[in-house]
Amino acid sequence: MRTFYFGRSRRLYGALHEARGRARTTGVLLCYPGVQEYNQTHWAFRRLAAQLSRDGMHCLRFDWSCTGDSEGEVHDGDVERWVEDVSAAAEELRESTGVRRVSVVGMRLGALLATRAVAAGLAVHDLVLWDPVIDGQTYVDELEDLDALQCRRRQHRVEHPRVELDGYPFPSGLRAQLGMQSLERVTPRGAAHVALLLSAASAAAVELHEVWQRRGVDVRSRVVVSPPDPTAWQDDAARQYTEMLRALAAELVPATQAAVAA
Amino acid sequence: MKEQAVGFGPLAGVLTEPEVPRLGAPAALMWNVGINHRVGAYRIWVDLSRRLAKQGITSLRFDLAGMGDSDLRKTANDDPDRALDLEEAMAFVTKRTGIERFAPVGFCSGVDQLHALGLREPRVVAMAYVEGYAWPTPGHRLRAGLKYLRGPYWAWRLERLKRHKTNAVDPERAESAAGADMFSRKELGPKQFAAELRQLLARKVKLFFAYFGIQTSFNHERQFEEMTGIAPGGDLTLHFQGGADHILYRTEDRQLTIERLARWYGAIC
Repeated sequence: MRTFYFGRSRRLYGALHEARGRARTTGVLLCYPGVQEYNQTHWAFRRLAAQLSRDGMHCLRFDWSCTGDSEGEVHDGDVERWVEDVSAAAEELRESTGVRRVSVVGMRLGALLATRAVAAGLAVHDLVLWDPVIDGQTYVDELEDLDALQCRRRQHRVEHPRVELDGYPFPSGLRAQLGMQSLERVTPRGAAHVALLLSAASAAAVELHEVWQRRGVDVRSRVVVSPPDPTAWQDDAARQYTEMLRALAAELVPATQAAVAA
Repeated sequence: MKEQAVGFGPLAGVLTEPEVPRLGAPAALMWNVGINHRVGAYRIWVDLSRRLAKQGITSLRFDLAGMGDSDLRKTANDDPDRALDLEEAMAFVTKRTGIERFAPVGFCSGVDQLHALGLREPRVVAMAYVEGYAWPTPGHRLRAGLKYLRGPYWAWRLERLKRHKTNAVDPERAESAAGADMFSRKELGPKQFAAELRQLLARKVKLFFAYFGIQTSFNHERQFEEMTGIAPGGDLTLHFQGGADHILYRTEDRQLTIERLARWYGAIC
């Protein structure tokens, strides 16, 4: 694995897992969830990237601007900038590895941002959406509920207005931007195939599937149930995601088998 | 400020260098907080690194072997002191920047590696313990009743009661059980700790302690002296934030801690 900063207008932190053995012609870009869910999923993403590199794929994961090790402060987070980050990272993956095609895996908010980038013209082979945020306002409501729970657990009062959520600054501009997002309003035409992988069945996902299918998107959906692991430590999400990680890797590997065989 | 993604041996990290380094300042070292990777809980190490750079202080935040973006070693991954990891981190900083003195900071269980490092390593000239060692004292037990006067305490009790009724497994208990396995720590009693602090102070190592008051074993600034027999002052700085919780969930609590740490770093340079 190689780590580096990239990007022209903003410096983004990236970790490239180079393909083991003969590299396939498709590389994979991994898009983390939003900052509130980032720390808990870092190890799961590393596991997924390692698996994909063992399967012969170059794989790049990167921190969104204003999060993780990337440039910027959390309170300057901006949805439109994050959508641009997806395209910048895809370009970096192509340039640094020479892959001909890029597939993208996005989780939660990362899935929404990746879809927006693809709808705006980024060409990808597979677009794999892991428990995507389908409606931005629902996502904000979920973060508020989670924050209220965490405040109770940590014996803090919930402050109003909610200028931070789940431990991070959450300025009103970002709240408004996120509240306006909806996957149903965008169509990922730049993706050859779209897969929705869900850890639980969801009516909103079924509706999204139908909407995209009506618009001619090649989309398939699948619920991947991970057996509950009551001993898993809260932040050790990687242990809880084992089945999902297998399913994600399986979505991406068949697409590139032919390329290797050829 | 210049931030570079760096690798040394199996380890990965980010080196943050100021535009104008302060002459003679030690480099700060930061590593994993629990199982959080090197950015720290709620990105605290990123914020601290950038804050220190504004003061002319260089820092390296990195992942211990087998965690975050670092690879496992072929051997020595089970050393609780992570001596090899820390040695390689210091050697790397010296090679890249010429800095030969260090001021590491540990958070929560990270203080175990910090404490061991300070005791064995003469290049460590200052150390910051954030939510490190705490033992209940008679004073702590007397003051513990005050928590019942806080409204949020009762909201938490109610929450726990509700969860107990609805969950076959209490997530908090599962957390502590699994966490205890993961973070099995060396036994260190208050007497040994106090004796070792005196060794560090005799060596003129500058010490900073930050403690928080919610759901921790520390509830008053007097408790430090009750535990160790050492009064804060001189080379030992104590910062107590009674309204903050163990992992600094609230941004304002984190910012205050970072500010106090930065002020201390500025003073020791």
